[in-house]
Amino acid sequence: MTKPDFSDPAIIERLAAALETAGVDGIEITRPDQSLLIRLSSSAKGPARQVRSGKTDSVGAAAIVKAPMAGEFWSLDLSRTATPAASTARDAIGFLRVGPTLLPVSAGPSKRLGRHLVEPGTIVGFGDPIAEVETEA
Amino acid sequence: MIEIIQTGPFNTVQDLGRTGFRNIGVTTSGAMDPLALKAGNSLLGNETGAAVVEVQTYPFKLRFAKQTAFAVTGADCGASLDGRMVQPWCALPIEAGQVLELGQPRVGTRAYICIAGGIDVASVMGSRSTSLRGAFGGSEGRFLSTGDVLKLGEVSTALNFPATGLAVIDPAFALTDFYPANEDGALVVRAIPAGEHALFGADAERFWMQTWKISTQSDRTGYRLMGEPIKPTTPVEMRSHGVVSGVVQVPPSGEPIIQMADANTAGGYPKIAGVIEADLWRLGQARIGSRLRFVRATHAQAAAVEKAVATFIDDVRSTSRMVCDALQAMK
Repeated sequence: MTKPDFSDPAIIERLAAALETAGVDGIEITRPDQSLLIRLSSSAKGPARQVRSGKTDSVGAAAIVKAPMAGEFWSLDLSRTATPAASTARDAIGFLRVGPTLLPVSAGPSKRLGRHLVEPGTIVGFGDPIAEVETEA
Repeated sequence: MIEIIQTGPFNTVQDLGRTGFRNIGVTTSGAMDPLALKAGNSLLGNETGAAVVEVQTYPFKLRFAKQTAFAVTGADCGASLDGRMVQPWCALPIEAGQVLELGQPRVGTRAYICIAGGIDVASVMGSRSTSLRGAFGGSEGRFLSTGDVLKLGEVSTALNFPATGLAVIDPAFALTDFYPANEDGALVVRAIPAGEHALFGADAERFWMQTWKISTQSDRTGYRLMGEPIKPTTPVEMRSHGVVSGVVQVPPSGEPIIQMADANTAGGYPKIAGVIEADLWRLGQARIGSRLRFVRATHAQAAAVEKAVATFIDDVRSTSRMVCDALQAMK
């Protein structure tokens, strides 16, 4: 059996239509080689869609890192920026500040930071996308 | 257990010290940077004053013999775990066999290896601190040697730290409202005029105005300072009397000595000032050759800083547990 290509617009359209019919707000599909996120919302202007699709198996392909809990997003350890020689864990792509603690967020195995998706100082909630990471060569 | 694989001299087991025996000539000892010790232990869920390894000569390397959690606080010495850089002041879970290595400090001078359960050496007179002068406490009363094996205490309710760890915000940043910034590169240390302050007449003002350099004749017992000598207006001969860490004495040379964690229990030099307790950790991290300046403080200011530090430590403890529990619940 062949795997569906979640970057195919026709498949995304069919899935979105099925979700609308079923009255479901969204779906997120993640497999080793691909990921797909569809969010539906209704407003006075009619239904709106947010679609994010990506391939993650090839070098340089993007994946999303989400906040493991609520906190204030720091792209780096601001408490040590006054000391430029300060150490930082090699794979930390950001931190969540919770009170006097900092929760390092890592890119994951064999991943590197692509770009941050939130501004430093933003309060994020559990599951909010905070960075795009790429597979290392 | 942990096994010391590589160490220099003067690295010891320390806790918050052995109080209550100065009257019989027993030095207090304890961590030179008690804030780093308290923060590390609170982060790990240990008792605040649990014993840790104080490292002041590098490189230092140890192997963990069992699964546990640890944090390296105090000096930023580019710590690595199995060759992988770890975040400073960060509690991390570890597996048996993993090797922790500390290099030369990038910031500060003394690092504290805090481990879940604490270092379980015998308590002597209510403390696990090493008294090098008395040759008791800690690991057989001496500094650590390659091949030493130290037991770890039992952990009552272990925290489940995430694989990425959980760090403490640098206290110098978190407590910035309560600590003066350096002035022209000199550490600003707050002190209260002491018993013989008035004996120094006009020289007393020069004590406060000038910048002092920490000389190479400095260790855990005391820091001898270098600068323009200050002298009493008339020579004084005093009987030896009790002194504590933080006391600033002025010997006949006129260059002050700050008593530190292994402070002498008695001395006869006139005392010009006493460093407030909440600032001693900053001295504990000051490098030999670095400069400092004393500024006057009041008892009320000293108490306010102590309260802020205590609140910070309590906050670290409660937040650490809350974050670990929340991450477990969301798995």
